[in-house]
Amino acid sequence: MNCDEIREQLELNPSTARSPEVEAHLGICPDCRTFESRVAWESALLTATFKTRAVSEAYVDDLLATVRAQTVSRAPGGTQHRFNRWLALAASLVLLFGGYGYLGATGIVPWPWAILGLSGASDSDRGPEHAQPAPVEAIEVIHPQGRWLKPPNDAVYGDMFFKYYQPNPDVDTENEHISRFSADVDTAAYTLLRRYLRDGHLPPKEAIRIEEIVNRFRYEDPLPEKGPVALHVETATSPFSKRRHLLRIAVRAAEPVRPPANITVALDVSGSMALGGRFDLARHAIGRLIENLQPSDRLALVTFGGRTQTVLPLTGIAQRKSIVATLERLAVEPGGTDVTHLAAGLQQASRTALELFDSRRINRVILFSDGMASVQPADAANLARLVAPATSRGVTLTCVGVGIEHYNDYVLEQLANRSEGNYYYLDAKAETDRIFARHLAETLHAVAHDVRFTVDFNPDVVTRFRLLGYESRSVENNEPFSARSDGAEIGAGGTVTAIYEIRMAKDAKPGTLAKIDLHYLKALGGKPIQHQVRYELDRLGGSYKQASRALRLSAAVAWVGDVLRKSHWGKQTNLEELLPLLREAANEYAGDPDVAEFVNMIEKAQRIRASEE
Amino acid sequence: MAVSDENLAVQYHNGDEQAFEQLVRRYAATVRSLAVNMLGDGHMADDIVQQVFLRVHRNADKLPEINNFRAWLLTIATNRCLTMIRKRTTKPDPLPMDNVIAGLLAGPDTTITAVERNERVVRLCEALNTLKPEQRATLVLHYQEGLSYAQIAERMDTTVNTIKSRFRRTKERLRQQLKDLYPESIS
Repeated sequence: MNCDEIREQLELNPSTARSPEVEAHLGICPDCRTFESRVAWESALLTATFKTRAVSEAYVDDLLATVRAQTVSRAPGGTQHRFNRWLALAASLVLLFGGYGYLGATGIVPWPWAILGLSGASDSDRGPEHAQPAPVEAIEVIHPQGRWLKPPNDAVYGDMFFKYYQPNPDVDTENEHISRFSADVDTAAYTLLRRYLRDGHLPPKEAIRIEEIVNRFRYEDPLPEKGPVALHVETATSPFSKRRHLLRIAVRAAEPVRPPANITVALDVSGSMALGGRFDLARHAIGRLIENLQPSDRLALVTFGGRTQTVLPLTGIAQRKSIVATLERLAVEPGGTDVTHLAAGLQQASRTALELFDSRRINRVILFSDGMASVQPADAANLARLVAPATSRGVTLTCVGVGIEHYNDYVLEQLANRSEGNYYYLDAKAETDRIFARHLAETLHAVAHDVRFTVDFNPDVVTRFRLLGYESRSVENNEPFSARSDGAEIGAGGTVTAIYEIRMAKDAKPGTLAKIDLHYLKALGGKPIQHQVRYELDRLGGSYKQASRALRLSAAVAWVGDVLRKSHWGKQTNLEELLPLLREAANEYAGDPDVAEFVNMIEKAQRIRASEE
Repeated sequence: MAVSDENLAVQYHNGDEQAFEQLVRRYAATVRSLAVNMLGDGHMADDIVQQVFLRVHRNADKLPEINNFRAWLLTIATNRCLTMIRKRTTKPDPLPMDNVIAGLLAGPDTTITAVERNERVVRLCEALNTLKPEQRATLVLHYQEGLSYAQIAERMDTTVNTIKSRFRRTKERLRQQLKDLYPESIS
C-alpha cells in the first residue's frame, strides 16, 4: 500500500480497526501520522459542530399545537375529497382518450380538486424510501384521512386555511407591566365575517381577528395638527364592572396630497380562480382601481398561475382605454393545468416594481389571489423573502383575497404583515368601492410605516391589563424593534384603534397610569429613522355613559369579537347583552353605512346562534 | 421498555394521538438540529420541522408500511432541506455560534484566545457556507447522525462511491480553506 491508499483508508474509516499493514506504515511515515491526527481533529471539530441540540418542552408543545391546528382547523371534506379524487381520475382518463373538449365544456370537474387528488395519489405511490424532492413540489393539501379526526363543528366551507392565535391573557402587572404590539389596519377579517354571515353561518373562531373588525370603522378622531400621525388616548369605567376600566388608544393619520403612484398588479389566473366567480371579482376590482386612478399614475399588470407573464408593462393611466382592453382580454388559464406559482408571480411583480422604482412616487404591488399556491415556496415567510428586496427599497405590498372555499387566509395575512403591507378580503363587488374608490388614497398612500405601540403600565396603580385583539401582532418585550418588520403602515386619513381592559389597584395613589409610546417610520428605504410620540396617562376618565362615541363603539365592537371568537372572556357575556350597547353607540354614527351594516350583521349573528342552540 | 417508533406509528395510524405526540417528542430535536446544521438558519429550520411533522400527522394511513421510521423521517427532512437550499436566494446565516465554539473547543487545541476563537468561528462558518448543499448534507449526516457511507448513499439516493468521493472532496475543500487553523502541534 502506498501513502495515498493509506490516507484514503484513514480518511474514510478513521474509527475502524487498522490493519497491521497500516499500523506498520504509520510507524515509519511521519507525514501519514500528521495526516492521521489532522483527520482526528477534523472529526472532533465537525462532530461537535454538528451535534444534536436539545429543544425545550415549550418548543415541542408549540410544534404540536401548530401541526394539530393546521390539520384540525381545516374544514371537513374527506368524503367529498375522495369523491373528487375519483372524478379527477376519471377526468384524467377521459383526457387521455381525447375527451378534453367534452369535459372542458361541461365544466363538471372541479379541477383544483383534481390536481389535489392526483398529487396526493402520486405521493403515496412513491413509497417511503424514495421521498425524493420533486422539482416542482405540490403544496401539502392532503386531507385528514384519519377516521378519528372529527371535522370541526363550525366549519361550513371546505379547504379554508386559518391560523388560530390564542387570545391575549389578562396580565398581572406584577409579572409584566409592558405591553407591545404592532398596528394592524387590515380589514379582511371583517369582510370574511360578513361573507360567512351573509351565507347564514357563524365563522370559525380562528377567522376572527378583533383588531381587523374594530379598525373597519371611521371613529373620526381628530387629524394631527402637525406630523403624520396623532395619538389619542381615552379611558372610561366599564359598563360591566366598576372595578374595570377601558383604555382606548387611537392613531389618526394625516391626509396629505397623494403623490402619483406606480402600481404593479399581480393577478392570480390559476384554475382555482375560476371557482365561484373569484376571477371576475378580482378583475372588477382592478377595473375600479383603474377608473379611480389619476392620469399621472401608472399601472403594470403581471399574471401568474402555471405561467408568469407581464401582460402590461408600466403604462400611464392616461392610456386608460388600452389598459382596460388588456384587462378585458384576460382569462383564467385553461383547465387541466391548475398550477399556481404564486412565488414566481410575486417575484416578477416586485422586480417590475423595482425596475421602475421612483422615490417621488408611491411604489406598490397589489396582489389578487386566493392564497392557494401549489408550487413551493408557498408559505408566507419564504414568499415575503422574495419580495424583501423590493420592500427594503420602499415598495409596499397590498394583498387582496378572493374566494371562500379553497382559500388561504393565513398566507395572505402573514405575507402582508411581513411585507409592510395591508390585507383586504373581497366578499362582494361592493367592497371594491370602499378599497379602490372611497378610500383609494388610504389604500395606496402610506403616511406612517412599521407602526408599533409600547404601553408601559404603572404596576402601583394598574394591577391587570388585557389587550383585545392584535394577537397576530404581539411583540415580545425583549425583542429589539429592528428584529421584526411587521408593523402596519397607516394610509392617508386612516386610523388604528386598540382597546385594553384594565383593573386599578384598590388603594391606588394618584400617579401616572401608563406611558403610551407610538413608534413609526416616515419612509421605507434608506436608513430607517424611528419617530416616537408619547402620551402620559395620569388620570382615569369618567363613566361609560360620558365617554366619547368612539370609545363606546370600538369597545362594543371588540367585545362582540370576543364573543364570536368564543374566548374565555367572550363566554362571560353574549350577543343579546352586547347588542344594546352596540346599537346605542351606533346611533351616534347615524349616516355611517359601515356602522349600520355592522349592527345588522350582529343581529343576524345572534339569530343564527339562537337557531343553533 | 420503550415502545418502538414503528409501533408508535402504527398506534397513531389506529387513532392514538398520544402516539403521535411521543414521536414528536422523540424526534423534534434531531430533525431541528439536522435542519439547522444543513441550512444554518434557525427560522428556516423551524419551517422544515413543521413541514416534516405535518406530513407525518397527515399521512397516518401510510405509516404502517414504513419499516424504519427514523430513517424515513430523516430522509424527508434531508430532502426538504436540500430543496429549500436550492431554492433560497439569500446567503445562509452562520451556524449558531455556541455550536461552532463547542466544535472548536472539542479539538485538541483548547488554549486559543477569545479573539482567535471568534476569528476561527467566523472562518469555519464561512467555509461551511461555501460547500454545495449535497456536500454539506453529507457532512451533517455523517457527523450528526453517524451514518455510514452506504446509509448516506441510500438516503440521498445515490451510490456509495459517489458519497465516498464527495466526502473526500468536501474535506479537501474545507482543509484548503482552514489550512492555517489546524493546531500547530499537528502541522
